[in-house]
Amino acid sequence: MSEVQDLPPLSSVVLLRLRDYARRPVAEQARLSAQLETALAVLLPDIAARERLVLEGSGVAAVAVLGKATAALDFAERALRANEAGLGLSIGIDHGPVEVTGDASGNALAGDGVATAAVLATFAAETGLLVSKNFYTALAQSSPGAESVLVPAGGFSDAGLRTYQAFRVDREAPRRRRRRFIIAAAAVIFALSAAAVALRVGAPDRPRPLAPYVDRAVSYFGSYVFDRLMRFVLDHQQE
Amino acid sequence: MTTSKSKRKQLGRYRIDAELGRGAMGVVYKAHDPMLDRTVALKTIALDDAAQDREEYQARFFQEAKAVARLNHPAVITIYDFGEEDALAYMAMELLGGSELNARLAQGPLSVREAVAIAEQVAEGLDFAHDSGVIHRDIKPGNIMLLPRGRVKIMDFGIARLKLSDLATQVGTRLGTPRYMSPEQVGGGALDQRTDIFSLGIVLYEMLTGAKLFHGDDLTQVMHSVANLEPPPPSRINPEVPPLLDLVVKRALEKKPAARYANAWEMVDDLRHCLQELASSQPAQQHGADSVASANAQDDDVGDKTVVLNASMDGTLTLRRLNAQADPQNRLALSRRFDSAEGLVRVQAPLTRDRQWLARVPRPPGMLRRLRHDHDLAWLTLTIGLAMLIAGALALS
Repeated sequence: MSEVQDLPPLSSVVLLRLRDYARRPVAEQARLSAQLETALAVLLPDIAARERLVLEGSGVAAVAVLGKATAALDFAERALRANEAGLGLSIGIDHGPVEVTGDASGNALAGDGVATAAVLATFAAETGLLVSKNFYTALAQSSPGAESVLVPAGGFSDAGLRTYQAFRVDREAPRRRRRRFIIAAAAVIFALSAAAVALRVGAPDRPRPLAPYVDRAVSYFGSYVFDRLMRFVLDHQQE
Repeated sequence: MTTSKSKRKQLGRYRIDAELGRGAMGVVYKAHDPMLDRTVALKTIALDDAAQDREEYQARFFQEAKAVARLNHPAVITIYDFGEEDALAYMAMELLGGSELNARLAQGPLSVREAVAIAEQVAEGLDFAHDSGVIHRDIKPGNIMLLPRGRVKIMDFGIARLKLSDLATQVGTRLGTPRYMSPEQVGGGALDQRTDIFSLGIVLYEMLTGAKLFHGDDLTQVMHSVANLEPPPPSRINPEVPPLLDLVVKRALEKKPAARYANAWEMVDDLRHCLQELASSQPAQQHGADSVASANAQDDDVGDKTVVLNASMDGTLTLRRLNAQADPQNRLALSRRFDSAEGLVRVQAPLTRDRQWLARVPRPPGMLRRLRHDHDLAWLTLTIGLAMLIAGALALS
């Protein structure tokens, strides 16, 4: 048996927790549970049946997405939007090991993936959605660049003093990142150009190993550009 | 208690006619009150032998008895009188013609409506007692009497406080009452009305499922279960239990008192909602809940259900062991509404390649892969590369 066969499968667990569920009257709990089920019924078809396990608990629902971290994040974000209707959801996502435990009363899913997602959901009261460092890495591996929507949300400690590095979703983050890239590129271009010009001006006796190639390229490029320009002018005059 | 005492013919002004039963604390007699010419149940409680303990015990007994005697509610047994004679405290109370709930449970699980109707009456009685400043502390099937025409009475109010001092001697012996204690009760914490709500939650769970909720070979195991075990919803064992009732049981069985029903009336309210829901879903069986006694006679029906639920009980026990080992937060049941069969097969019996794919530990992607997928980064890299090329050409030509 190979080492991989002994390892439990990993999945991205999206855990949806109804805020203050335990404190609400039972009739309201029943209503919220029904609303949560309805929201799931609307959102779940976007994840293929073979890629998900749907879990339930008291005031809690979870979807374990197998292998596709991007699908898990999409699902969580759409659930968060459904939340705007007043469901009061806190969402936690982790990518971790899960294990099916079965008995006569039904199957259940256990593991760190479920536990960490549950803890993050409890911390997500303000932000609505928190994801773990493991999920961040899984998302980066699954779709490099997609993790740029996740920004650090700080560290949290649970009752057992375990610490969690959490990230939150910020859809503006990729745009800011792109802007930073443009600024960085412009700065690098400016710095390199300035250095090159400074070298040309400051050190006329510098070695010029590339001169023949550059001269040839410039003359070829220059004549090409001159030809195209002349042809354009002549064509324009004939018209 | 000595044999001579058990054969006594008189206690206080009461003439003892027959012995009705024996418990850990004393004997219950059928007795006659010559002054009022009525038949009563006479419950005796042996007082401690040590003089100091006895005084304290006696004081507590009379204090409790006075408080309980003030309770006058259809769901609470009526105390007529109390007193002490020959190191034997006694309470004269109304003699009830019915059977205890534990005897009824021994015959098999109750119908959902029957169970809810009983729990609703008990909760109502508890609410009245709590409002009067009395906490029962020992709600269990043995202290709930089922009367004809579906009526219910709670017995042994306040007696539990007297029993608590006996707990220390129970380690290693067969357990009874601790199975119905609340987490704060087994933990020795401060008690309020919510302890009775938890105990009633256990009773309701057992009525609905026919399974024992918290049990073990010794007190430690039971206490651990009470404090840590998150029971599966009753509907997992008995599919007839509606979702709303699952929520009621869950609320009553919250480990933290603050998360539980704040008072018994809230539970009454919710149980009445459940009864309405049950009545609307099964109008044809409406008469069933009104007649606990007549339901007792439905042996054939009950027998069938017992077979099914006993099979489920084994499952509950397995589940309990798993739960005891794992943090309850670490485990969620598969949804019954949404199908997860295909995903389940992939997790339980994956193909070799799928297994490798699912088991791989996430790592940050390599630079080349990142450049292929991350277009912003690719453009930045390309731009910087071109800039370096041009700058190099400028500098070295």
